Amino acid sequence: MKYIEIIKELEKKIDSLPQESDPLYSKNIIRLDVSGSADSLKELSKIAEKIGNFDLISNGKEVENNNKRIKVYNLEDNIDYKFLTEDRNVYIAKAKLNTGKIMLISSGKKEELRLRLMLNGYNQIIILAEEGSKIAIEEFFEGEEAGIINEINAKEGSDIKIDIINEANKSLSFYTGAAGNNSRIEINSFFVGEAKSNNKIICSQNSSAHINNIIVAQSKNVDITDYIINASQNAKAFISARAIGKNATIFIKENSIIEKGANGSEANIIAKGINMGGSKIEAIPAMTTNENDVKAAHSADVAPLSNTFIEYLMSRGISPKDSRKLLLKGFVYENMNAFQSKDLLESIIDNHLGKILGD
Amino acid sequence: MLLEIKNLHVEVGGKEVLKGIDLKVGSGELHVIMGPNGSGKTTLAKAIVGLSGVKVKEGDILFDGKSIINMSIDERARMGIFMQYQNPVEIEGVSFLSFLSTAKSSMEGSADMKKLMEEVKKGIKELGMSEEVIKRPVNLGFSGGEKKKSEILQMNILKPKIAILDEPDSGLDVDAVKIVGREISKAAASGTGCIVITHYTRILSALELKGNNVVHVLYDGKIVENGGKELAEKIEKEGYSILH
Ligand SMILES: Nc1ncnc2c1ncn2[C@@H]1O[C@H](COP(=O)(O)OP(=O)(O)OP(=O)(O)O)[C@@H](O)[C@H]1O
Ligand SMILES: [Mg+2]
Repeated sequence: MKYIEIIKELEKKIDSLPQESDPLYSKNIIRLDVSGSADSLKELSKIAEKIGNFDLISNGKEVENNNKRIKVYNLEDNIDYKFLTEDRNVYIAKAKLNTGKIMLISSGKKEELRLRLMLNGYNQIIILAEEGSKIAIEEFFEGEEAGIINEINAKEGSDIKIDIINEANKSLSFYTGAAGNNSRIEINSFFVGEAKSNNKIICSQNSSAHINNIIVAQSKNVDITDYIINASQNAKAFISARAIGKNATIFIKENSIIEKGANGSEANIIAKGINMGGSKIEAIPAMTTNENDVKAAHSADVAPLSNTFIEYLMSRGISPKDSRKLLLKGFVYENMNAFQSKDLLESIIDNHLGKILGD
Repeated sequence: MLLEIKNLHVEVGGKEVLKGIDLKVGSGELHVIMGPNGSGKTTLAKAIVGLSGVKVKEGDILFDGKSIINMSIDERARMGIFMQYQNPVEIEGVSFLSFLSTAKSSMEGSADMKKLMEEVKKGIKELGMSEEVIKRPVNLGFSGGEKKKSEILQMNILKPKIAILDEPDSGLDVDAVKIVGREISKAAASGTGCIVITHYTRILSALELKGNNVVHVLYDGKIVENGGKELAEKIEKEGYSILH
């Protein structure tokens, strides 16, 4: 599939989002705009106007410039949102979103924004990193059902990192990203429930995209499809997916497309699974390369835990269960390490592995 | 007696590999097992440790007077049985330190991280290893020599009652052989019963072998000869043909 088609497909999905008439959709937009820089405000207003009414949460710098329909809140008015530090160019915030919210997040030029979001129900997030800025977001999916659409736009020289800790029982997620020249987009996801997920990132010149997935599933269906498209020179794509399944059905379809003209590009895909019994795990890496001067590699492998390894650990006094746990944690370690809250994630993974191993 | 092997018959993949082994090893004793390739040395080590694929058909293995042949690998390890593997596995994502601390806390109920760290650092220095190995995944990308040393380090940290060392000297440079030999002697001096499996006498000069029943020759699944250091030297000079 050409990336144009992928984008079209995504647009269709966005179009099919709940409409204004849909009770599910409260039409609220929460917006977090750190600097209120003229550029980002303009861009965000455009998107916002297309959608309709919205509430604005901002640090209040340039809100007067905005559209009349904007309802302005002071930061303090919003219970779930506060700045944790007043560092000059670093903003840290926490927000809780319930169904039907659209959140616009943007960082001004050269600013740094850190954000923690608790997501419940169906939400949409639009992220815009201005030139040279940095955005790091942690998204926690909670509750029975979660659905999310993330649109990610990294302008020249910016850096966007999103960690998704998805503990929702059932979830649906679409992330699309465009990485501008010399920028970087990283999406790390952890799945434990029933999940369908789709990530697509297009890379411009000298940019890089990183997709990291960890799946720990017991008696669940997990279906993951990722694409990274190297659309221009020296773009770099890295995808790593690691799945642990017990009585689960897991698909990890990891794709790289290197477009014609994207010479000097690199793409690397790793898709691996460990079957802890009764699972169907398919790790399918696919590479389409339309350019000669590129480096591309992929590897895939699904197997049960190796008995030789378990016995080696047991011969050092470690119980069979702890041996398995140590090996499984080792299997996802590198991917886990990519998350900002790796200690938290480790304890979450520990807990779920314990269940798989029969705690 | 710490370890007593009685008339041990063992099958591997449906084939009888050990055909009646008798061996006694006491605390702090140092024994050497030699024997041609395929004679069953590693199989004997595996049988003592309890690895799968090795089936005891007849005979018994007693540890501190108790039969262990129906015990699991980890139970035996926690009783104080250790094996240095001929080819240790490489484990991705598990750092050497977290592996050691898990092992230590499994053995002792808990691990004092600070004390462990000190012991590990000391052990690494004595073995002439680089400190960064503790951060690396277990054995991953270790050189042949580093793997052997990492096994010896584990022995030093876990302080077993009995250690079976399966070719601790193969693939090591001259200096490393001396270091490893010295560490094994130290373990024996501190009370660990050691069984060293080897093809060469060069490690023997670093080991303090005492008595005339410490070198055992395994041939086609049987111990065919027992002796002192001179037996090893004779074999090295003349080969196993002297046994026919
Ligand atoms: N899984 C197996 N199936 C069948 N035969 C096996 C299996 N594993 C080992 N053997 C056989 O058992 C015999 C003893 O092997 P073992 O590894 O104990 O020899 P060794 O004395 O340690 O040799 P080396 O000096 O080469 O290390 C060999 O003939 C070997 O081929
Ligand atoms: Mg052997």
